[in-house]
Amino acid sequence: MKTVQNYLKYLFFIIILIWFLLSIGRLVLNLSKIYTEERFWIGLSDENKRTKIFGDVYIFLLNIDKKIKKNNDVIALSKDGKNYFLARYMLYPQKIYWVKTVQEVEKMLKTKKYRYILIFYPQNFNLNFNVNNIFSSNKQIQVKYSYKESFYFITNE
Amino acid sequence: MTIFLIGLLIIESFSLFKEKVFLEKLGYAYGLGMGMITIQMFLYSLFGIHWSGISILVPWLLFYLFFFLFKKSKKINYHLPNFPNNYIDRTILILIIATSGFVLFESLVRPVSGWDAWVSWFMGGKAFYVDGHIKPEFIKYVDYDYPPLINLMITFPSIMLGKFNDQLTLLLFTFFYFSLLIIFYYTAKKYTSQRLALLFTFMLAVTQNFIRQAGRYDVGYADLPLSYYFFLVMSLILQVNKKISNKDLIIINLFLGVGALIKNEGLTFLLIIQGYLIVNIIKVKKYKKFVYLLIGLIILFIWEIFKYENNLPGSYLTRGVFNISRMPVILQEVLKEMFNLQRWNLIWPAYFISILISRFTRTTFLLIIMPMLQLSIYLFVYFITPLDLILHIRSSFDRLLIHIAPMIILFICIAFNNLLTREKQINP
Repeated sequence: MKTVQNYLKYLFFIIILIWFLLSIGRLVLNLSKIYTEERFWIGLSDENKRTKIFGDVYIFLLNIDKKIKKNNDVIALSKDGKNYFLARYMLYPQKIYWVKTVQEVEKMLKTKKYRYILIFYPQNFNLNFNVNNIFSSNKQIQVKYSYKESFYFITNE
Repeated sequence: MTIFLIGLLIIESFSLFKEKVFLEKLGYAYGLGMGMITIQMFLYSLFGIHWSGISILVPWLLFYLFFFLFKKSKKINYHLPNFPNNYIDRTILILIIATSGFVLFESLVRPVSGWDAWVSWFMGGKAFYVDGHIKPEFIKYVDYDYPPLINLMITFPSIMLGKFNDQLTLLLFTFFYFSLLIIFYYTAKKYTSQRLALLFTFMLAVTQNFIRQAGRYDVGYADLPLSYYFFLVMSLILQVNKKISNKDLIIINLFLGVGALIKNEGLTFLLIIQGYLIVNIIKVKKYKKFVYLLIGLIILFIWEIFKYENNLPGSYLTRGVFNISRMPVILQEVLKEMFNLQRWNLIWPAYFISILISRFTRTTFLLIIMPMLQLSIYLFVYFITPLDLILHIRSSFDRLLIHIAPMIILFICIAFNNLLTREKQINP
């Protein structure tokens, strides 16, 4: 029992020593990241930084925020949740409702009056360019704003 | 700055932590100030009082004037600690400062980018700011089951600035990191030497999961603040003797209440610590002290009433069913995480070995039992979760370990110190 205890004590000392050495290594590695990774962020504007983090969708939503009249609900058509959650965050107090298919959009347009639809990466949905063919519920809608053909802002205004 | 000042004001007004030095008081002041402001904002929202810089700060200003007019001893000792006078301690301190400097730089170089940060915490903070109060419709819209304090914490700087600024708000999380390191150092120093306290403070500071949440990619998550409050409570529990004073009970339960309103995990820790306090109160037969246990519970109770009255979402865990057959998968994923060198270094292997070689005292016993009880609750959740099991563990367990890691590291520090002391006695 005493021998096992002694072995454990030595093991403990060794682990603490290795832990300390790894900690030094970790600090050196982290500090080196200031040069290898972080220097590219220094000097960038806030808008450029956020575009770097979120992609072009950030610019799209920034522009949309100026176009949407307050207190109107918005449908977000997107295969992936990131675009929806970012829209929800950036556009609040606008309420954003996420759907993944064109059929769901049509269902929603039938149940309630939505003034705005955001389509993220329309190429994922086999859309025609003429949106009136897609959303049969409302023939007055149009693509009011498009960013790099990857994001559509559709409205019936 | 405001948060520190309010915390210090309360500490000095009620003569809390009289034996502690100024820097250590600062570490406690941050948590106290933050807790009081967010609870104040929460109560304002319930009573329909408009949030503004004036409405939040004026009561504290009046309190400050009262303190200076009526309190007999107005002298506050601002004495900062001296720089260590030997090379080894100085070197370790420089390493801590270098790590902290890196973390501060990281928190300033990038806007909020962590998924949970902008999807949950900052979403709520922005919504509360835009709405001007805690709107039940917003909580239903995002289907939250989180308590509101982190969101309120994020709202507060925006109220002071007059516009929502998520970049600057990240600093609040970095200051939790600094305050945690300060409290850890002084707590460790009480049981070990200055050198060991510095050493293990450094090893805590450089743990990658803490660096991530304090400044790097995960800054803005609620786990670091919760870890801070857990350690604050643990530090106070360790330092009070069996005859816990009323002041100690009040401050411990206040911090427990704040923790419970940060994340749901804070509630389980509140119950564990209160269980310990109940046993102690019964032992000393001072049954009137039970009333102080209500402090944390009252704050939580008000939030639960608010949720009930507004029909707000409950926990997704209520949809789960206990499934013992999950044990092998849970064990595998849990051990994989604990032995992840990149995230945890050798903390967990060191902890398990130090349990085997430690002599049990009240201090070491508490530092084993409390974190392990909290951990067992986290593991229990995985047995009942309705979500995909492996996904759930991999997306959450590393963050849950942050809550108890400072207590674990403190235990290792004390165990190491005890071992060194015993070795010196055997081989003088």
